[in-house]
Amino acid sequence: MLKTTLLVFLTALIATPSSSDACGNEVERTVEDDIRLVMRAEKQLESGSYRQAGKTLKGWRFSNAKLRERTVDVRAVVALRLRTTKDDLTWVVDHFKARTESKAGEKDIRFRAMLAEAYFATGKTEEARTILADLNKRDLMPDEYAYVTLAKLSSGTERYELWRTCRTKAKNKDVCELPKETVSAKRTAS
Amino acid sequence: MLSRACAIAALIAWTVAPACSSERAAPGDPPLAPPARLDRIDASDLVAKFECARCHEVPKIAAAPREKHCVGCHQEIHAGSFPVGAADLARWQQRITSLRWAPSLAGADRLRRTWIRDYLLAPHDVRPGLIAQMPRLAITAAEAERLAAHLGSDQPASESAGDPARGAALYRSLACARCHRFTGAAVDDAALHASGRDQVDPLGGSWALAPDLRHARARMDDAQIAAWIVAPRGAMPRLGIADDDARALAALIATTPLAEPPPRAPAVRLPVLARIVGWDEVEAKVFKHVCWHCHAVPDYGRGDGGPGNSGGFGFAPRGLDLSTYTGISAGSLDDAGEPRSVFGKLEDGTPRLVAHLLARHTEEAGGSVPGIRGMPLGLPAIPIEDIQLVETWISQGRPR
Repeated sequence: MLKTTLLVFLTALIATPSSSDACGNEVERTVEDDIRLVMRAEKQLESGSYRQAGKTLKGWRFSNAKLRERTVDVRAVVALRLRTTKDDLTWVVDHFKARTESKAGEKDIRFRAMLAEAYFATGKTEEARTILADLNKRDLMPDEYAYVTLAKLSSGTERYELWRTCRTKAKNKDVCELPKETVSAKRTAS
Repeated sequence: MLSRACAIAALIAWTVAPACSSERAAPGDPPLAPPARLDRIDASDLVAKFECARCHEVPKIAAAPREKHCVGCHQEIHAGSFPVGAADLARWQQRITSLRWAPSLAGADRLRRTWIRDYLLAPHDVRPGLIAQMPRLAITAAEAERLAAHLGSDQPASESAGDPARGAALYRSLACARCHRFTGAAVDDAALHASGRDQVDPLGGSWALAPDLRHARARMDDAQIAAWIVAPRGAMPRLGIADDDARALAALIATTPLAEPPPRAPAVRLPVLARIVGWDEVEAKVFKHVCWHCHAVPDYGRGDGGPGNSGGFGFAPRGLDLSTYTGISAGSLDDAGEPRSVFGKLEDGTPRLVAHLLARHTEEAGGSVPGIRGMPLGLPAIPIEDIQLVETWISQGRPR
């Protein structure tokens, strides 16, 4: 009984809407705790707080299929961004591949970019390059990670320009770090 | 304090007026009745397609569910019945000014079909008290024709039987200008209209919904105007006006000379700024301030991403998410359903996103931009200084 009360209290605490939330289109998000929880994790992802996003969803499983899928999206990005060399990210590739092939996700550029990042992380560099080069050509790169990944797969002026663009668009400029010699060489040249 | 007391007294007097004046009869004249409606065409499929019930009350059509009903949701928030915490409710009540009311389409049967058709194809500001306007739908001429035949009526031409001069005197004595503008007419009283807002709004949007009577002669014939004055429906209160007075008012509304309003020049585009403009600034001032309402994240469980993302109001899904940096960077879907950048440059070099924001200014000035729908859809144009911020941000490589 005490455990249940505590759980309810904690859920309410977590799910209380922030006063900075605007009303716009948040109607359902505001009244449904599980949606707010996933939204909270997604916002943490957007701001680069990957560890926090992972913690927010830890232990939660939703009956709503769409929410479940979004939860896996968050977990896959967290796994990708916090990866170590030992991690097996095959499941992340599979997840984003499925997303890009699904009816709901096939047109969402963000899934394509995530798939490319997952390909790169698992050594499938050609697959990653193909996707990202296409997105870059169409000015559809969703974030700094897409730029830095393509930069790592490029060379010369192109690599330098991608690095510069990454720094412009990155909240955390450290994300754009490339092997120092390449960048400084280009800086000297230009 | 005194003016407030006067306003309340005036409101009470105005509210009880029908009971006092309803005794007056129209000597000798047959009682007014709206002309009979001719063969109505069923276009409920189009009412469903364009989701009219998301804003309007539509006869025989169920209202949209709360998460899709723009006006209903805002009304619940203002009425305090929306299921959310008191603090949020209070904050939202302060913020939400638009889409609190929309005219009921139950009253559209008084309108000329030709006017409805033309209005659907090129909507303009008919109700100056409403912040939101009818949006420019992706509607074809044939669809507009059918929808107009469904909603409106064919009205046989009728001659004005009233005395416009008497109508003008009545217009003033009844203080019609408290709710209505009559732009370009000698009886128009902008100051009284402005003061009417606080007096009349407690009645539930009567002031906000009152049309500018300048458009009435195009919308209805004299007989319909007179019949409506005697027995209005919807937001217009029944004032107990006698038939002959209604005829006089109708004659005034239909025939009084109208001066052309001064032309409204489109806003002048401002040059990009020299200072750095980051995402936080454009997000707060533009994207999260307005755009997000219709261009959000899809798959909200039971909700959707708004008409500008998941589709709605007859628009195909555009997949545009303006709620986050990555969302806006991921572009929108073009007419063929393929992703494209919202920053792509049009022929004249203007980024697509900026072109849509500028087009709304052109629409408000009475024009339109071929192939570019003004945004925000049906809402006031974003201030030109804020568009300048967006254009500066884009020109600087969209810094985070």
